[in-house]
Amino acid sequence: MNWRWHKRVSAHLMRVVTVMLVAALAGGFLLVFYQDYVSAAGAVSITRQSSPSANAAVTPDGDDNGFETNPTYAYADGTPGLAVDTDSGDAVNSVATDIGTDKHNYSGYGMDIIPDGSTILGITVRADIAVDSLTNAPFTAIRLSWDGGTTWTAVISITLTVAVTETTYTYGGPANDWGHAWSASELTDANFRVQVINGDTKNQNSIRDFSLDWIPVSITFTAPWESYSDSGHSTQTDDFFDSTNHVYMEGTGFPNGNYDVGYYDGTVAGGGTWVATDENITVSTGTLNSEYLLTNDQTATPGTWHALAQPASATPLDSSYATAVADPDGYELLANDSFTVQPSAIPEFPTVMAGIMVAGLCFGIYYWMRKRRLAYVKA
Amino acid sequence: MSKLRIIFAASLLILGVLLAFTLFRPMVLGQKFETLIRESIIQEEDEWIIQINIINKEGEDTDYTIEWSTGGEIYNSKNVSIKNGRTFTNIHHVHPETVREGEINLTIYKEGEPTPFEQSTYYVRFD
Repeated sequence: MNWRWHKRVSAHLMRVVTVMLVAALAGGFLLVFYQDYVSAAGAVSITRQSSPSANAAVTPDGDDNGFETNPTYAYADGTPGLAVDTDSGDAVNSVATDIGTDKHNYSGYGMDIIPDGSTILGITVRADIAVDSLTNAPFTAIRLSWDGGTTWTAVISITLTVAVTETTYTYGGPANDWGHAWSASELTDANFRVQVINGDTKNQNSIRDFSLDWIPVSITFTAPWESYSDSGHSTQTDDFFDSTNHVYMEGTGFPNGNYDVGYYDGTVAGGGTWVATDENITVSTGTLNSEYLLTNDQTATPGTWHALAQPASATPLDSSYATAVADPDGYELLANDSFTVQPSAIPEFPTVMAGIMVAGLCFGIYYWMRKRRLAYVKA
Repeated sequence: MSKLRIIFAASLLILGVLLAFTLFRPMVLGQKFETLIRESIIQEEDEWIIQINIINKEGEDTDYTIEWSTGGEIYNSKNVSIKNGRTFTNIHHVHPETVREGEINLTIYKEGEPTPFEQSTYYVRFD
């Protein structure tokens, strides 16, 4: 057996192993310590829809009776039926806010649940309306009050486009504040009113019949709900990496009660995965606190994470973030915050770190042996 | 063949086998398909906090039902789908008004199995 081929094989093998070890070291360090997710996090808006539970005709306006037949039927979609305003209005009723139009206030939307201090981004009113005829261009206008009916926003008026058949008309929108800077306290049952106004362009008593099936309101808001890197909630952060791997959530302005907080890992196709629930947290002074150690699941996906808050009595969250946020009313969501989790915050120590350490050790031994061999050859 | 050459050839052989295992992972030794539970409990000033980590080592994505009960009544129940190899953390706050007869029970079922694979009782006391 020729001994020289052993030397050639050894030399080639040494080179290959050296390259592999250096690559493993570099790759490992890049994987664990390099921050490759751009921090683009913060409060995420939620839209909650609710129905009225109280109503009152506005008098003396129009023919003084608003939706005089079954006004409570507008509390729900479909069954039990329609609220009806027969032969709406009186005298000139072409200007929505004038005294000639029939007006009806709906209230009791139960929006007291929205945390105080939330930013109200927009209000959407849905009105499912039917009108007996389009003669004289019948319209339904809506305006909102934030102080129990004393002060009102400008009206949003829509000329109805379909006769007889019930049609859904949308007023405002998720980014439409109706010209008023709202606070959560102005959306409480004591303050919030929706006024439905019916009219047409006939400058005499109207003979139009308006029917209202449902008048829900959707509030789009972001709650005061933020992530911190310390238990004292003094350092607000949206970027977690290295040893900054303990998320401390804090929300303010929450009504007293018990709440659940769900944590979802990095958003991938179809949404992140539910990795933790911190449940049955008592709020007695308006502050909701929760925390989660990111290394609890070292196989979690880095990237944009979310923390959702809901009442403890609500339907438990879904394992998929996408499913949970697609139904904010079903899960009674009150707050959503996103933050960025870098790979270095959740390293897989048993595998990645061990691999790096072993590769480093091998490289050290090889380098030591190579130096000794060169010293031997020179001698 | 000298002893040194035999050791050299054997080393090359072992190295080759190890490289092959690294690249192809033809088999996994000592793996047992199961779900692991890690529990910890902390007493705070006015509450107890029970943390459960459910680690899915079943070899496939698995659905679980987690139930918390006291005095024979379930007061908290949820379904969670845990992907293979992943961990789900359930941090449960226990308040004095929740507890009956001084104990809280945790029961965890796997999807499709009528009998729970985990049952724990926590005796909690509020001074």
